[in-house]
Amino acid sequence: MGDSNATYLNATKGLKSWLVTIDHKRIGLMYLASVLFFFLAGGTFAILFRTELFTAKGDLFSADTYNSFFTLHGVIMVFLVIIPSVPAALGNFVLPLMLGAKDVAFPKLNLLSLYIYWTGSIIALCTIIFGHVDTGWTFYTPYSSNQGSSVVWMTFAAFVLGFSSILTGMNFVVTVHKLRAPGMTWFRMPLFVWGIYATSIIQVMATPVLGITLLLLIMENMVGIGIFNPNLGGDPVLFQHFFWFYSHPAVYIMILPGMAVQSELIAVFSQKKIFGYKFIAFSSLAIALISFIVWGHHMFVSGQSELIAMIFSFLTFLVAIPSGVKVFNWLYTLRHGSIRLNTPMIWALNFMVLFTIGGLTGLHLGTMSVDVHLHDTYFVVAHFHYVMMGGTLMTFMGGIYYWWPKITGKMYNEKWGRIAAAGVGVSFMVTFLPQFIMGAQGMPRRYYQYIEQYEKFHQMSTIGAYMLGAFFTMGAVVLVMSLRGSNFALDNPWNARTLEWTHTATPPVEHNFIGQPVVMYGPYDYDAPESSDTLESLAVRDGQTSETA
Amino acid sequence: MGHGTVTTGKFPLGHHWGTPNQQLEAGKMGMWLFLATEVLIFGGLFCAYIVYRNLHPEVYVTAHHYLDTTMGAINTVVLLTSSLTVALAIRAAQVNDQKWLKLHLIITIVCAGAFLVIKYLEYSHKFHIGLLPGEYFTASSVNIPNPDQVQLFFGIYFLMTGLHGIHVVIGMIILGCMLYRSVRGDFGPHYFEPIELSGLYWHLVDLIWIFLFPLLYLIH
Amino acid sequence: MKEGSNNLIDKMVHYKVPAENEYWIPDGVGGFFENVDWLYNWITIISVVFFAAIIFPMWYYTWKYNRKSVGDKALNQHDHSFFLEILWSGGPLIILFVMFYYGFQGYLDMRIKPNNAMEVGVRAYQWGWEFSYNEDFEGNATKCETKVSFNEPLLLPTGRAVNFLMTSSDVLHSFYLPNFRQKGDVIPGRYNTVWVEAPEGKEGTYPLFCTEFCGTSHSQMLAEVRFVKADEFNAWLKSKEKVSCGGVSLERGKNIYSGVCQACHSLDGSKKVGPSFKGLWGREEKIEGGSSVTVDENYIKESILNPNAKIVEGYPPSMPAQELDEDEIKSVIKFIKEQK
Ligand code: HEA
Ligand code: HEA
Ligand code: HEC
Ligand code: CUA
Ligand SMILES: [Cu+2]
Repeated sequence: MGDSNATYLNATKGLKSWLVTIDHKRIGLMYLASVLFFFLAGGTFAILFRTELFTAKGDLFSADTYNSFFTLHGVIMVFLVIIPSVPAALGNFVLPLMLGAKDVAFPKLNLLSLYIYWTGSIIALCTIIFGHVDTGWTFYTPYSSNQGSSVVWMTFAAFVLGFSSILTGMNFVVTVHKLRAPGMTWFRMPLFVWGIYATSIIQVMATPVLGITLLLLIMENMVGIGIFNPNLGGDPVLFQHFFWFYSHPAVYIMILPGMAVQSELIAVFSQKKIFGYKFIAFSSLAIALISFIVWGHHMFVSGQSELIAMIFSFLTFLVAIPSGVKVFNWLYTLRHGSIRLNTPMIWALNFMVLFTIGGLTGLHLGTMSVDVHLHDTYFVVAHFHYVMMGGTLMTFMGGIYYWWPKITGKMYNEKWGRIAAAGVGVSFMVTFLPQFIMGAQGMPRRYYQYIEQYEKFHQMSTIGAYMLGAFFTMGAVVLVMSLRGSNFALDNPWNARTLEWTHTATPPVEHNFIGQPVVMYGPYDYDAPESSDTLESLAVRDGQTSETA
Repeated sequence: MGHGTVTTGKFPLGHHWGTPNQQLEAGKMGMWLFLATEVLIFGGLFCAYIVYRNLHPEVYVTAHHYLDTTMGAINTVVLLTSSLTVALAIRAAQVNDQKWLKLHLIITIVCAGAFLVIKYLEYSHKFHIGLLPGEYFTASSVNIPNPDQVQLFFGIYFLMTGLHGIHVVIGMIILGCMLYRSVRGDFGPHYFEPIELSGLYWHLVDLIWIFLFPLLYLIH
Repeated sequence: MKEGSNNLIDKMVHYKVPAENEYWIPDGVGGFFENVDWLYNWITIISVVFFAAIIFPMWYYTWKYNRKSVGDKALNQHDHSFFLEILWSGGPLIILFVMFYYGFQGYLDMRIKPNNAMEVGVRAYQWGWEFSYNEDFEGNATKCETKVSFNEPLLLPTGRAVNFLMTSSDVLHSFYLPNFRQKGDVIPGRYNTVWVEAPEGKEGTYPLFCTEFCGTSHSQMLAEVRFVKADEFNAWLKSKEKVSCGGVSLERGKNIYSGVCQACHSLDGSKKVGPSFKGLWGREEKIEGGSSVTVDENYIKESILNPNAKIVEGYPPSMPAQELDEDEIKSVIKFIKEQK
């Protein structure tokens, strides 16, 4: 470790050194590559079926092909992209660094969960190539219970991926509890850590139920147990309860890490203490807890009793409060700041706009009578793209650009990065805003062909999707080019105050820190100049300063 | 504190830990979290059980007569014994009683094996007369009033006991590893964490059976 | 597979959800649309207000407090205000209560049907709807259960609440009338209900969508619902009765064909989802697995009630079992015999 030029990237060499590594940074990086690959795959499916939807008639490919495409799109985006995106990819890389730890609590388990993720995704890929799954990502019974082996394999893939998610979650919970550096009190933890912590709790508590649900579904397909089969005395709606008991918390598994990144970006790029630190921290926990008891809002028209529906609606609204608290606190952090519109910040502003729209339209859906009209229309499709893609994915991108210098040691081209980020924001609106309108007009989702009345909205949406493809590609090119360029990054190019920037080199050394960092200040203490100087001096390398033009 | 594995006495300290105690605590916490997920997995099945019992109470009452309560009871005793012996094994490690450490582990594994043998006998009887889940339910020889729904009971029965059985097998493998490591002499008063954690797991496997037994075999 | 060539689909593409304003929500009919529409509008306004209250300050701040030169520091490090936190969690909370309350009220109205509603049976299957009537506008029982398939418009009277008693023969479907803001899942093995009422004067044609994914032709499960005046409805029902309750007749068989089988079986020898009915009668049919069978009464009956028992070579086993009674089956057989 004595060699000051050795980073985690070149400490050991060769493919094998990566495949058997237990370094959380390398594991995070491998997750990152996989997730981006699957994002490309899921996006490609979207582009394909959006092309089909350009005209009202089904003329490009067959109905079955369309159905399996949106299913694959949904499954890939949810289980292979969004859920592992921030926690497994960025979280793995950043969380131990932020805590001042040398690694996660169980490094081998961490590697194991990467392999489980790979196994799950390979099974999913094989199913895509060799099979035909057209159940939608929700796998509703009884349709899904006699679709043959492809469904079994796809659910098995989701089942396996669930375990990966559980193990990662457990690892992070224990890491946060047991591996904080001296001086890293709970309230000195960066909000990123709080967000990931809350997420991990949901992952550990909710995913097992998904596991058992999918297992029951597999059994249903293989031996026809009949639990979800009305002809055998079973109850098809029970599946929905099981499924949403996991999948509703899962949507917060998706958004909490996004919010976690958002807190970092907003604070750093305003050079200000985050406003309402404790409120943001605890609102993550509040969201995590409430999220377990609102699943029934997906089932307002499934014939559940009015009383139960009412309780679910009420609780659904409660979740909006902590989400709102976060949004307002971010907004207020900007005030009186010293704001830099770097690429990560553009993504963060995208998030503010898009997530707010997505969240607010969630209120339309949580309102029972309005949901009866909107349920399973494109309004819902638009809602969840605004929160998942406009929310989590924007901050995921923001996080990639923010930590890119730390991860790779290279700086990307700011100008083109900004253009790509802003372009995605605009294209997003073009793609999904029309979907609210046609949804309200009654356009049902999962339709391969539709009545002509909706054609103009669909056409706009398709054009938007092409634009999205173009701008994401641009964003990817910016990053790839930076790797080939020689614009080396400073140790702390954004002048951040968290340990991964202040206490370690860029890129970090193999075991993160030289010596044990000791934490004396909060994660956003921009008003402690003398302190920040000492903090930085530890990390400054080659005489560089932390300010960039 | 460097990297790689540092050994303090017999304690293998991971490179990223400050003190053995920290590592131990973390291991225990991880295990408890893992056990929580196990409880939730079975919790899901218990929910399914409850829903169907409410939907078709009569089916449960009829069908449970086809389970062998004696065998179930024997199995309960066997598992309880093994829970005791695994606890004694941990104790033995703590007081550095190497002989009883191994012996208790062996007894535990034997009990687990016995449990599986008895389960096998039960299963094969049901296979024989066709009391099987779902499509394979062919118990025409048995005089059951509404077989369409009775198969549901057996679906749940096989799922729950089957999943539990898998846990027993995994437990045997883990305890086997512990036995191997005890023979190698890994454990002593300074280092017994793996045995303790395996013991925790084994207790959970027992506990689940304690719930399964009355719910499936003793229905009124 | 070009499904666009199917006449039925060509027709459906031109269905319309009547809407005066194509950029908002479609025209409302019946009772609950008022609750839904004002809530929808009101929540949207609230959303726009909150959105503006967040996004405009955000833009303003990013412009106003943009860093002017390297080394600029934030103006201050003000980082908490208990008052503000209470304000922005308490304020929205009150608004949310209002949304919740009226949403629940409206929902109850949608779920709880009036006592005197006319009952219409709905059976959903892959992929179509079948409606059945037991009473006319005045509540007089019909001669028998009168069925209507979804290829013809479903007629309903204005001025009377209609309660749909829904069940499915296979998988989940969902019954959605956008203009009525009404929707309900259609579940196999149990009954779910939704009800609507079009007041007199609101006669017109409204589409019905299936909104729960149900397989290949989910997007083709559209039907036209036509609300007509009471007399017109009664007259129509009488004419339907003749066909439906008529025992065994060629007309009845034809009716069932165009309602149900037409989607998959042609009469002109062309191949659709299933084999054509042209020249089917008496044909020697090759069965998957090697054997063959002569098409006779028993084979057709079996094909209808238990289609997967014998699969015709070269076709997928995708024909759903049809719930037809003895007379209906005989009528269909009569009809098939005619297709030489
Ligand atoms: C990242 C994922 C994510 C997130 C964060 C959310 C957040 C929310 N969702 Fe969403 N939702 C999904 C992903 C997500 N959802 C998905 C994937 C589906 C569909 C699944 C499928 O069927 O395939 C879905 C479907 C869905 C439904 C079911 C619709 C239907 O099928 O009929 C409902 C209904 O209640 C709902 C409600 C909400 C609410 C109230 C929130 C709230 O948490 C939002 C809270 C946020 C805000 C409200 C904005 C910020 C707050 C303020 C600015 C404060 C001021 C405002 C006021 C309170 C007035 N969602
Ligand atoms: C996070 C989740 C996520 C994301 C990001 C997206 C992204 C997109 N989605 Fe998807 N969508 C879902 C989750 C998601 N979706 C889910 C869960 C469903 C429900 C499925 C179901 O009903 O079962 C759904 C359904 C769904 C539908 C409804 C289908 C139907 O009901 O019939 C539509 C229709 O327009 C759609 C469109 C799109 C489009 C155009 C994009 C585009 O934004 C995609 C743009 C992306 C690309 C074109 C890829 C480009 C990437 C690169 C070039 C590499 C990038 C690398 C770097 C920048 C580093 N989606
Ligand atoms: C969703 C599509 C679909 C519908 C609706 C449908 N069928 Fe079929 N039918 C098929 C398919 C596919 C086959 C061939 C596979 C098989 O034999 O099951 C078939 C086969 C048949 C056969 C055997 C034909 C032969 O060549 O031997 C008969 C008879 C038949 N159907 C009658 C009917 C009748 C009568 C109805 C309506 C009351 C009907 N079908 C509705 C899809 C359908
Ligand atoms: Cu029937 Cu969708
Ligand atoms: Cu939800």
